[in-house]
Amino acid sequence: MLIFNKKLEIMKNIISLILTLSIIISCNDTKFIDVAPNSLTPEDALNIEGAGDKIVIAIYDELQKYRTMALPWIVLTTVIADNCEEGGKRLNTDINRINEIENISSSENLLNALWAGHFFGISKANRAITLLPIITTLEQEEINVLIGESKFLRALFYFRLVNLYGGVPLIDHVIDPSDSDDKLLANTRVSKEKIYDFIIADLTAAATVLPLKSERSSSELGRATKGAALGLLAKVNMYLASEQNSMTHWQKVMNLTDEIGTMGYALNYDTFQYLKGPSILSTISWLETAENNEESLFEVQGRAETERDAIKSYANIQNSRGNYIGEPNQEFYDAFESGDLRLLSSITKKGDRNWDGSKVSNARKNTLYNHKAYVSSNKDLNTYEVHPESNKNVRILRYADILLIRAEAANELDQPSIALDIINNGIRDRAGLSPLPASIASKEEIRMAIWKERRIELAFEHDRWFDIGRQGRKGDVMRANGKNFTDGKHDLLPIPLTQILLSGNVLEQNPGY
Amino acid sequence: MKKILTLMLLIPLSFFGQSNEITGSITDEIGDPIPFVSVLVKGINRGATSNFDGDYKIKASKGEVLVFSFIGYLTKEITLGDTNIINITLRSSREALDEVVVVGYGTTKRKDLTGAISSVNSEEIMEQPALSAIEAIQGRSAGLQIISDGEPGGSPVIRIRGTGTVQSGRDPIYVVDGIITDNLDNVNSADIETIDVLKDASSLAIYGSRGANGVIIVTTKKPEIGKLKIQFSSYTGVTDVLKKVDMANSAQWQQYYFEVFNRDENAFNTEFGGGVYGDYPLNLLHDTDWFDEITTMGSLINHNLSLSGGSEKVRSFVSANFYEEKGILKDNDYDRFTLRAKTDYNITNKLTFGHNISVAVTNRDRKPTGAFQTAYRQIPIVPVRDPETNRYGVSGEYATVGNPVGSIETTNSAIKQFTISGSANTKYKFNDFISVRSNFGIQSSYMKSVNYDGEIDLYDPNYGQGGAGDARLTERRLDQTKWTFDLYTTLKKTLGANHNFNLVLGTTTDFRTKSSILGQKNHVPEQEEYWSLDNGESILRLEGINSTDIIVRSYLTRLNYDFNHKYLLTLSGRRDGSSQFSDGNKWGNFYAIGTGWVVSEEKFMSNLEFINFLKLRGSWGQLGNQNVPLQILTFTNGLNYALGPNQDLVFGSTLTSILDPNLTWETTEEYDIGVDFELFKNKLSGVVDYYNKLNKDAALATKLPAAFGSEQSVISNLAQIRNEGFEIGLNWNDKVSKSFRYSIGGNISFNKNTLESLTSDTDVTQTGGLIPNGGILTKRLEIGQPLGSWYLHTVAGVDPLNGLLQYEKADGTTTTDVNALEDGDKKHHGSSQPTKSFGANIKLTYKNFGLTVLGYGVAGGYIYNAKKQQRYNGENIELDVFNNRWTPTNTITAEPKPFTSIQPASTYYLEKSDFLRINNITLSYKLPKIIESLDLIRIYVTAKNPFIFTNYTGYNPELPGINDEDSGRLGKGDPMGTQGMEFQAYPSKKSFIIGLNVNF
Repeated sequence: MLIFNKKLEIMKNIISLILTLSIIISCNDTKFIDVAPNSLTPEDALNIEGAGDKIVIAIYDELQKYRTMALPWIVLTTVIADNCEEGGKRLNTDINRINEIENISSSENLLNALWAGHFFGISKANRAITLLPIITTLEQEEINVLIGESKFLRALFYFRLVNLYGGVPLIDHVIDPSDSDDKLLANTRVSKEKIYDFIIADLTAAATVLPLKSERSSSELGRATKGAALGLLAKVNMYLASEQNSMTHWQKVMNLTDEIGTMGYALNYDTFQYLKGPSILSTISWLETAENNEESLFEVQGRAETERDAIKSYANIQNSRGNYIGEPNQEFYDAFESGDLRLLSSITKKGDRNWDGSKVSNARKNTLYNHKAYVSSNKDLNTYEVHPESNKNVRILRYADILLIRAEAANELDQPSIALDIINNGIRDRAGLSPLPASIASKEEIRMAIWKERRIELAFEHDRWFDIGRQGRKGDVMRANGKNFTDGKHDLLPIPLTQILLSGNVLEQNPGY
Repeated sequence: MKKILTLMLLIPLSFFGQSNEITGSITDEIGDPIPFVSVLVKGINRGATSNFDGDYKIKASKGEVLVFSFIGYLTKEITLGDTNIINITLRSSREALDEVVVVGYGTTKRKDLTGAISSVNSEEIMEQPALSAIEAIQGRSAGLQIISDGEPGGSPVIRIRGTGTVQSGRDPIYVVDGIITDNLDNVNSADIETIDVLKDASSLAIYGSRGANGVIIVTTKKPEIGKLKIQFSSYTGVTDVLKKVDMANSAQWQQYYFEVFNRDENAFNTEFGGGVYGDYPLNLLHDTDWFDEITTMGSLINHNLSLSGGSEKVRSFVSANFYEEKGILKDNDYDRFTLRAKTDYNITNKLTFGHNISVAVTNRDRKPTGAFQTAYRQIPIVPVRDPETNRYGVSGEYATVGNPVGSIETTNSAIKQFTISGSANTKYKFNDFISVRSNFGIQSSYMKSVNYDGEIDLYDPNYGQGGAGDARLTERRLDQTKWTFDLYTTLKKTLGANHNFNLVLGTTTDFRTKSSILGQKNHVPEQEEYWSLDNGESILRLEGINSTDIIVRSYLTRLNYDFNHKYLLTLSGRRDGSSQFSDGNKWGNFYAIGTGWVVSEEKFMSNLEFINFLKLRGSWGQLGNQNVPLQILTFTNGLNYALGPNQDLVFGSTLTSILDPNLTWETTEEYDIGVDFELFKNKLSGVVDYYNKLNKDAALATKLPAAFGSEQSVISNLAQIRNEGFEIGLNWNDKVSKSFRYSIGGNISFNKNTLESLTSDTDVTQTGGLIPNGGILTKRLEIGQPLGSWYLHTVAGVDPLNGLLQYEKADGTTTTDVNALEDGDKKHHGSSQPTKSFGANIKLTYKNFGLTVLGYGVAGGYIYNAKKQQRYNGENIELDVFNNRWTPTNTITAEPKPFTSIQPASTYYLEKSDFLRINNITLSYKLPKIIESLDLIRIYVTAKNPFIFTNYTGYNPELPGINDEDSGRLGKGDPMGTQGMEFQAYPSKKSFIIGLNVNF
């Protein structure tokens, strides 16, 4: 009896145990924890209407990044060159050591930021070029144009990189970090020539598919056009022509600028009108209202809300209301001829009035200020503590530059009349200056005159540092300016140490650093 | 046969037995009377309560069982015999070894425990008035570092045994009545019965991949059997700044500013022509104390009402609580209303069922705490409002700083949250051997936040009229739901006389999902009633996020074995599958072993009479942290651009990241050796623990070369992080006389945090501690250093000759030229994480008076005084900086010559974070019993945080870090983030409170 009870008890226990355990293990847990992600997978994202456009817009976005277009770019093209000194408020401890080229150390954050920004832009372009052909929601025609834009932007990033750093890793596809060939490719610098070949191929391809500025619809204003691609190609050819002293390239420049000349671009004569009276303030070239005008081939489109740390700080880093970094030096100020309307539009002095009538404070550190970057909007004052903002576009390529390129090519190809016509009746005429004296007649003299016009016309437009480089006189110009410049070293920036370390010391440093 | 006879004899006796009046007195171990003890006749709904002298009266018959119970004491049952006078001594459950400890999927007695678990009871939680129970228990137990957040409604940061990870979740999990939650912000502290903090691997392994950061188990109050008890408590108080930083006034600032340019006033006038528009610095019209302008006296209000009672069959507990806090930053308020209803049913002898529902509604009005930094930096010569235009004053000429009053008055953020939690639990006890429990808990919360950044009219004398920006409205809504289902069975068996086994087998499933939507518009009217997205102009942002659901399925087991409560063994294991990881990395197993030896049970100890209890413990186990950053390859949105004549926004997105397919959870191994003891007639009790835990594969973000095109860092399991330390907790409990009792307790924790290794073929240098406005980095991750290690230039004082800071170079020389400094000159200088924390409590009761003092402190950590470094121009300086500045006549000083530019990150800005704070002084008085139906009236006054002892010069040495919701940077509690950096910290506060408790 007792034994039976005990057995019954054990049976009960076993049954209840099995019962509970079976509930516990009843679910198929492997499937249970398989959860499909709610966010779009890359495959699905690509099939959504507009996906193709978005991946290209993302490349444009790089142009308004702080790392690519703001402080690093300003310091490493304007501050270190001969026209400007450091100036300004100390925005950042980094700038303590990048006031002069001689002080650049490869461990600078700005150096690394600029490098990274450009490669991120290239990577986004590669991503678009790879993905666009497989997008089914787009017509072939649309795909071609988008690829053209991607290639234009990729070329622009590479053109800037090759002039900053020399040969860099040449990446034309999306890198797979687990692939050892890709890894090596992304960590290995190729020659400058290979980069140039790549840029020319990209721009040529872009020019064949991109529409003209006039063919772009209004809503596409700001996108790359055929004119922009050809204009950059002309500039690239000028660089190669002067570096290699190659008449073939000069001839190419002539042909390209001929073609651009038929596209409806023109110098904007309103640019300096404000100096003649305040009623036409709105037509000044450097104002927001004068964006994308007939002179413009390509601009970075600024809009305050698009990015928190983006293009909006570009102007405020430099102007007298913001941090006035990149102070024009007296030597540059003096380089303007008397009566040159470009002086006041480019530089203001302590105590002067800005074009909007506000006064440049006496109490500030700089004597001279970059006036092209001046932003009048009262909105700036409102938020200047946290995020200085400006909607102002950054001018990348404009017709005055194209004309100067053409003038230089014409002179090199022994067609001085074309060159002088551009300089006298175009560039100088607009600036309110009389023609060059007749004494300037030799090829060499005309060349020097053109170079000077480039310096004045393109002040603060990030052209100078590269220009004196391709002219082969960087060292002379810098030393004449009192800088401690070492040939063979300071022509190029150091490769950022961070990138060398990240590559496992595979990436090679530039000589001298 | 004998039994039957006895039974036959007993039945007629009880049948004819009369109800007698049973009387007696109830005392504690020391002999003091315990009032309000519930006395119940078991099985019958008849009860009584002891009076103020501990005496009770109840009608009961012989053979019936009397149940004596009271919070804080162990329940005692007495079967009535012949005597009608029964005096009872109740043992306190607080330090009692018979105290029941919640161990996760079960309970055990403290004396049988092999793991390290700290418990805090309701009385201790209620001693410190605070929104969150976690903040209230700061300093209460060793091994818990709690960094409070001064902002009303701000959650404290809690670390159990150090910070074990960099990139992944660092917070412990909270299990509130079986529901896993992220914090205790929505739990009414008065509802909490106990908080059990699981600290070592032996206790935590049963939580597997959830356990690596510790687990905090919160058990809310159980409905009690007996007549209806009503408890009402209320307090109110005022709050003020505990620690202010004295700033230079206008004249002092002017003096300092002139000295920068090495000019006197006249020279300044001449040089700048006196024509600086507005002439703020020269005429000294204003002398604004910005800190005073943005702060105000705060207040605290708390009301709590609870009802509890019921029969053996059905018991209920209901509570309502209202808490309101007005901050010391103007218009910065928080309030919370909570309700809880909890009912337990004994359906049969074997089946019990309970449900528990709680609701919390919170309203939080935030103001930009950045105003604290702006107020610190803005110069005193600037008026709050320009007298002529009545616009907010600024002066970009001298200080690139906004107007803090303007930013408070125009920036609004209202966050409303509604949280509902419910759970149902069932227990079926088949017999003494086997029982099954289930618990299903669900929590849903809904959050709506409205940010309105109004137009701010600034006036800058240099620019004439100031600008009015676009008013911008941002509205966010967030829905979250999570549920947990536990099912487990417990098998208990004693084999032979002394082999006790307890086996738990179970499964648990955890699900969580959330979705959010965000919209932003500009030009929304400023009236509060229009702050919705129906108004306004263009949509600036419209984002929706449906986070991927997370499901974790787990199997768990634990075997407890003891031999005669002398030799103890615990084996536990858990198998977890998480949906978050890629195939092949989803499942993981975690094991632990714990052993204990109760030495005092040994015969050879019996003659050591002063030792009442002595136990040695040792444990080892593995824990996981599945809360690593989620890895799904998605398009990065927001890469937008402007096109067209009106520069309309066009949206851009692309792939910008690369993922590590092998990422999985972090695994931490920990061992722990501990001693528990009670000495000198249980007067002295203590716990000492040594632990050593190693996170073997901490997830760490590594960068690829930029040319690879991955903008985001790639997260991989790369690092090893060790936390090693000691914890000592001691408590002395004694009385001087019958009416004068006291207890003194203290605890101290030592923790050494080290990054042991980094495995990677590329450079994985991690920097952090970013000062956003200057791009300055202050922290670096380095092997051999703790997480959050400061990496700074070393300042070797001020050069007496020129008044400049002297920086040490790597070669041993010093320089005053900041341009000569290289990154390689920097050194590690301690960490933001303290290495020691300690707490102390003193409690005295004399007759009806009570006095409590709580103290808390930390040592061994460093603070980076980042706000002090934010000087780009002529921002204001601290009074001490002004008074001690280098001048040609004051050359031997630590403060440099006046300067107006940002300086490199250096030890000049680094200070010790050591502090000792009196967290609480409470004096209470229990009124003698006046009305029969009133069980208790207690009034008290509390000084919360009345004193702080620290050398830190800033506002608050407790700096949990800042979450920047806009950028998604979660710096709070991040050792590599803004933790330990004072930018805009909410200043330490002190409060003076009066309170009342009434029990019916």
